[in-house]
Amino acid sequence: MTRIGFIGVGTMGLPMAKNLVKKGFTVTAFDSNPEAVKAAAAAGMTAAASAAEAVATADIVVTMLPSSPHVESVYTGDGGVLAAARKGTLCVDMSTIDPAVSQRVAKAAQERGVRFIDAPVSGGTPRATDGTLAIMVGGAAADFEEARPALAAMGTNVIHVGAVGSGEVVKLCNNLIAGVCGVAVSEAFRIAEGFGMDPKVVTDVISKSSGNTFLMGFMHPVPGLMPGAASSNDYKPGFMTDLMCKDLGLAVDAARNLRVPLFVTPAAQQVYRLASSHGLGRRDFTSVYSFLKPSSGQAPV
Amino acid sequence: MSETIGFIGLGNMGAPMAGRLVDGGHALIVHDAREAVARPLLARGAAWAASPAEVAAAAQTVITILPTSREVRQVLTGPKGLLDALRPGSLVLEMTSADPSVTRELAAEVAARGSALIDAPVSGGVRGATEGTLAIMVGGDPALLERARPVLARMGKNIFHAGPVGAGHAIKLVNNMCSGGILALTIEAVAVAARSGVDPARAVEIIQASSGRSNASDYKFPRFILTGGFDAGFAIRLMMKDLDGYGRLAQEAGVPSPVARAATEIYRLAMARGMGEQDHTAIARLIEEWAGVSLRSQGDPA
Repeated sequence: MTRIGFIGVGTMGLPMAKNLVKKGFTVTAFDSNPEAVKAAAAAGMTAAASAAEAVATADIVVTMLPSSPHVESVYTGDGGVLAAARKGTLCVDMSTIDPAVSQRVAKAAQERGVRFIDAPVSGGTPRATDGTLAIMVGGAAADFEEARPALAAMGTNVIHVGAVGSGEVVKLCNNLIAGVCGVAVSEAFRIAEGFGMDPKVVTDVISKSSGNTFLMGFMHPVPGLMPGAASSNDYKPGFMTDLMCKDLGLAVDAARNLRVPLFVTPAAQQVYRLASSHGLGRRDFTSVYSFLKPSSGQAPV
Repeated sequence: MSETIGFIGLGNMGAPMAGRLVDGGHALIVHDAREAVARPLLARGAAWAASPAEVAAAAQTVITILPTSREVRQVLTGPKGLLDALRPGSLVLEMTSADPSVTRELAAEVAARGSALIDAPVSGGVRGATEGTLAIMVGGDPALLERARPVLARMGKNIFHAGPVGAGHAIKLVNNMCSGGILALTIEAVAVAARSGVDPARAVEIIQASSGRSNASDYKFPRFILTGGFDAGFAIRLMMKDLDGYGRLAQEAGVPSPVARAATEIYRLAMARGMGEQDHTAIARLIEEWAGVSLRSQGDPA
């Protein structure tokens, strides 16, 4: 059976790795946090003492890390994946990072005879747990086919979108839209409520009108309308506000490098940063709705 | 004759600043990536160095004033860079408008070799550089500022100690954000006034006499916008660099920056319209276009 070296078994990585174990893959896990490694061992994985140890005997390396600098250092740093992996090893980076960094790491991998594809995910912790993530893959078609069985253990919509880095591009664009919609839907419902409307009625109408979005349909920011949504569970993530700040930051950075003027995305990013400053950083990003609470009715307009 | 000063970067700002040092009787050894720009200074007695390392070998006080942190890093750590040849006890005065985090990193590398780097960016434009009236904001050990003060005083009138290494570069970005942001807001607001029936020149005059006054209403509007001259001497692409630098600084500092963000994107839009080389006051042209209104003084031929 395919041996997987899994680096980064945190909030997202651990449930994903558990699904690999469930489907019969042999998983060796490493994380810079020893508690995370313990949790992986308790779930039937072999604990590794370093990234190098986790990848030394792997057929496929999976990484799920917080940010671009983490990915760059885990792959190209001292004792990193590229130095330790056997020639021909297939590396699958599932982190959400800057597409340019994916391309850079892929090039460094190629120079060492290692293969690299990017495969970021969408769906948050609930779908990571259920094994129903959306996975967007950038890389050579043959590498994608080789990774597909492992990816299918973690996600249901596994899509090859183009050359290396392009999975990250799609992910960045998707989260830009989700992030902007999170603010837009929250603002709209605060206005509707200000006029005394029942949010349930507003939702029913908008869901059949031009303002309908996936965000309102599946992650409604207003508590009490959708039992499964984070908003109805005290904004337990889901997908944290701080991570949305990070992903919108990637979009803003990419736009800066591409010289694309952006108005709505940076504004939305700043709203999430403000929400984070008000203690909502580790709540679900849809908690931006609670940040947008109006001042008291007595305030002059 | 005072001690020999090394001077790297003879651009729009560097050349007149170096000229002030030569006129003040300092022996100068200079370097620039383009040798031709050094000729006027060499004719006035400055010596030429073929590399930053040659500058470091000849001078224990070295000034750098370059386009961005990237060039500063190259001059310090690149091949034949300053770090190859700095003698222990040397002092680097880093006067570029640079990225504070890079400055702190480079200062640590210089310190590890027994020398020091302090940041001392300037404000005041080419005119301030030529007349020696720049504002200079210094980040680093106050004792090092005192050591550098006689040299800095040839180039600037207001010399401030801003804080530790990197603080000079940080406050420079903060100042330019204020300058660029307030300008964008004032232009937009005067366009609203103009569409509401107030002559632009009268609007600026009233703002200047009231609580909305700023450098934009006091200086930039009357001199460069109402006249249609658009020649304050600071290009949109340079403002863009500093506004993006401020954005990174705010992010690193953990401060949400929604107001600055909105203003920043006005300049990026101007860049996207191919206006990068135009003066930063020319963002008024964009806003005039959106508003469908002229912001020139009535009766002005421009």
